[in-house]
Amino acid sequence: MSKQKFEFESAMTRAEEIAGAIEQGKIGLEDSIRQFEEGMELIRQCRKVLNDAELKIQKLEADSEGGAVAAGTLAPLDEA
Amino acid sequence: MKRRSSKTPRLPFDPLRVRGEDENPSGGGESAAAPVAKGSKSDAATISVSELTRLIKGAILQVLPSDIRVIGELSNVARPSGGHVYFTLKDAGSEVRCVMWRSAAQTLRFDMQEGMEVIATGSVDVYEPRGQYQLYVRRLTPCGVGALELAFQQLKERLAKEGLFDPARKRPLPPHPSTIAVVTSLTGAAIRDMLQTLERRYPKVQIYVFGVRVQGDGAANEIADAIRRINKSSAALGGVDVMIVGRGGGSLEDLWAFNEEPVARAIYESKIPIVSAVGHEVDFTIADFVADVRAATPTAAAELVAPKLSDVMAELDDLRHRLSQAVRRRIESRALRLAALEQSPWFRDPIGQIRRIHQKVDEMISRLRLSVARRIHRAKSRVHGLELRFVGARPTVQLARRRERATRVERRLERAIEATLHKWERRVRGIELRLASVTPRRRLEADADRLKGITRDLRRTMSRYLAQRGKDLSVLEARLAAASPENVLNRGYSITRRHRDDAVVRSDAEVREGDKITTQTADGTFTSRVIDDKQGELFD
Repeated sequence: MSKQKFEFESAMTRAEEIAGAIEQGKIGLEDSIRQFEEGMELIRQCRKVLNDAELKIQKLEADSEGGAVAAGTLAPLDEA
Repeated sequence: MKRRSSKTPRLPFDPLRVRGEDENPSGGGESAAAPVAKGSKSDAATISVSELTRLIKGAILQVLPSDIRVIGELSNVARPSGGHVYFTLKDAGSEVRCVMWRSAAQTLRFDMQEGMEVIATGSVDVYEPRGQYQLYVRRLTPCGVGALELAFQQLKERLAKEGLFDPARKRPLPPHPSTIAVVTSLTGAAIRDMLQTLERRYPKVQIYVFGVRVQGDGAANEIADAIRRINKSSAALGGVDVMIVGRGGGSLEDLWAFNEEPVARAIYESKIPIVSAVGHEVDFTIADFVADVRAATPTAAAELVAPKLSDVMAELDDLRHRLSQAVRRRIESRALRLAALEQSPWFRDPIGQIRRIHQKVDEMISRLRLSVARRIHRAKSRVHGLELRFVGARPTVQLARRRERATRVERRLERAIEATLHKWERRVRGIELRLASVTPRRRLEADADRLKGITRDLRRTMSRYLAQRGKDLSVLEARLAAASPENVLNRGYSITRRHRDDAVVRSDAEVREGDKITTQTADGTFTSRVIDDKQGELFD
């Protein structure tokens, strides 16, 4: 999840960057086409992540070192 | 400390130690009653201080109810390290020493401040070592305002002063969180509401739920601990983007954990942005003030934290559109530039361009040649000049040079003259132009005036001149008249002319013998013949 999370946010950011860069004419034509393709791919992936995603709920419990650890899934929706 | 129930004030007492006056009717035969009996008599028995104190203590315990509510003003509040609190309760007329044991003092939610009006609930007992009666306070509540309310205000003020609520340190929530941690009770409606909302809006997230007690003793510490643990484990959990800390609605007491300092501190220290979600809309807790964002309810918190999936999709669509547009525009602009480039002379007429460049180069070469030639020429003429200076020493050459110089001077003069002429011409022309530009009428009027004057002068001069001439003429006439031959003839002279050619005879040599001559006198002529032409010689 952490990897995917990172990718989503950074993919959005990267795509924004690309759009901005092309809009402002900061990059050459070939580069802009290459980056355009990259941006489109990022957007496609973002959409896929959103489409495929499902809510994952996990319970946390205190560990002995003062941290928290995931301790199995929680199904409070069913409880209700 | 002994305590008695107020409902049974008289029954359980130690007759050996306490001998109240109400013992008297119940029978004076008992030995323990003796001192009192004695005391009531004139020759009372002597008792020790301790005994007296015990008597007083017994009396107090017996007479006073075990639950007394006393209203008064706090003063001399002391908190030694043991946790017990000692203070004085006073009013205008009196005061009483009070003690609050640690167990009771811990439940206090507000700070005991000097001068604060409070209601103390407890019982009175005697502290034997000092012979002092004291109020042993079990419960202390502020007057007027509720204890919790007061505690809330006090903590709020203190934390605000410390800067925990500073708006400048509020962090924005991540726009697209992937991992959300929730600190709340696992059993309440709050967690259910939150999860449902997240599921509905943005089922793209990993949710970690840390179950805690949200009310009752120790709840605050549990909540604070959970916040700290999640912060500590964030990396291990894959990076928690945002945390919701909260519970459903309830009474002020129910929500109290969220008004406690440990929770406020934990929220303040959290590196993960925190949304507080406590109770229903009207309730504000200390946690709400410290949190980065306050949500009125757990559901609202979930809505704040998670974007709507459809919104994110729209955002993506928008981004895609922007990207396409941007790249299309870019291509179009490049195409335009390309077209412009094709239209440039280089592409339309490359040979012409090259020719032009050739021409330029040729020109440059010839200019170069010329300048070189000029340089050579200058050098040559310098040599020549030197030569001339050597040769020039010879007289013939000097002569020639002088002549040449003369010619040059002449030419210069001519040129100078010509130049001067030109200059003058130019000046004249300039003056003409300037004159033309001067207002002509005035000039004309002036000219006319001048002309008139001149004409007048001229006329005057002319008439003078004519008069003079007339005079001269008469003189001349007189002179002429005087010199005329008629006058001479009148005076007796005559004019003799040769008949043959009518020439005036001025000398005898001009006539010969036999010549016919005509003589003119004043009034006529006569002709005669020369007889002797040598008469004159006779006189010689």
